[in-house]
Amino acid sequence: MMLRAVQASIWLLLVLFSRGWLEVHMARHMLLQFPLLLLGGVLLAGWLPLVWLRRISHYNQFGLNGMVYASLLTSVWMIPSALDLALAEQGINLAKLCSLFLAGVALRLSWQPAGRMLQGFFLIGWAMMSMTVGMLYGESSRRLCNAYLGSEQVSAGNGLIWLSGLLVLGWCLRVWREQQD
Amino acid sequence: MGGGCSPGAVSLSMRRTLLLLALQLGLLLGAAAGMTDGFTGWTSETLRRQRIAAQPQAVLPVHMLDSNGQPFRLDQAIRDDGRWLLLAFVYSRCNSVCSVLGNEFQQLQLDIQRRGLQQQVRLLSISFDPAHDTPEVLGHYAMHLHADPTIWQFAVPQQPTALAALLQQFGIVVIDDGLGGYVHNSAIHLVSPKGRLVRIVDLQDYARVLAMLPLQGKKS
Repeated sequence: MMLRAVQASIWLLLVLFSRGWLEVHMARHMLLQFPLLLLGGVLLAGWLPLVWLRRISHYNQFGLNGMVYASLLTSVWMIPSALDLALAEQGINLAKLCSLFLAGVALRLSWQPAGRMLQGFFLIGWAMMSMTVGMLYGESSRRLCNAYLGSEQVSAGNGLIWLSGLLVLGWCLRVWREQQD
Repeated sequence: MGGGCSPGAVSLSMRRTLLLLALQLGLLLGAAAGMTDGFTGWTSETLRRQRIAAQPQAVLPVHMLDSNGQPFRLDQAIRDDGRWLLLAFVYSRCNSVCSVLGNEFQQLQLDIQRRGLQQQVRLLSISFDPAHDTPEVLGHYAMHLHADPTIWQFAVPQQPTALAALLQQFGIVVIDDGLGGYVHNSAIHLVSPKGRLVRIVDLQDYARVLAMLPLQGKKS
């Protein structure tokens, strides 16, 4: 338990200190910091006591709430004005960090209970939305975020398209392999 | 994981799940609505312009230097002058695409002269690069752009704190473009003779800006 606490603290400090480096470029911010925060949540969720997990599951049948939360929240932080706001105000940035971390926890707790069907539904739905956002970022002739350059916007958009595509592909391959011949 | 073995327990868990679902949807959509002014502004620039149009703001008393090195207070100077003011943020080192704003204002100056509106409206270019843009540099820049000093003036904030306050009030975000220059959300800011920022207009619409002002006796 002590070791886990130390690991968690180290990870948390790393993310907080690297905030400056992570948030300076749009692609790093959205495609590196966000996944790192989610990963942190996923890791923490693995250490939660079983008693907590059982109680949570009473409010998270089929992982429904966790899946909805994770997909909706990541979408919210893709809104250009939300991103700008997080960079301009510390309070909002803190909310962003905490909510994304929580999304990681939610995902970890909800993935198994959701089963392949709901996983596919949410993942593919999220990917379609993200790819649309990615294309909007890439195609837009205007800078959508005041804090980032137009070139950064294009790379972030393209990166998002790739990321969503790869996640869906990875999931499909996983399910393919599970099938009995 | 089911809520228990009995169907009753499971359906209770399902109901709890649905309640939490409603709660979190409300919170998340509420947060999203809060950050987008009710889903009307997806970018900061849209939000900035919408908010000023809905609620004009009195320009702050910022201490500036004009291109002759004379100090003045922005809000006071606007009221003393009594004309409508078209304000834009610039930096003189810019020599690529962004110098387009110099071009827009040149066009506007011509328009103002042609239509005889010099007594009713003027132009002000404020530099956000005080380190490089001293009053002398701005003076040269003004000459380079063929600015008529009675119509088109240049200024720079006296202190870094004044600059920060000005940029904050106007919602201007300046970032490094990685090529030695700056990128910022440039636009034309309409300030009333009483010193209130009433509207922010896109650069591309510069030709229509004069028509937006309540000016008298416009000649075509």
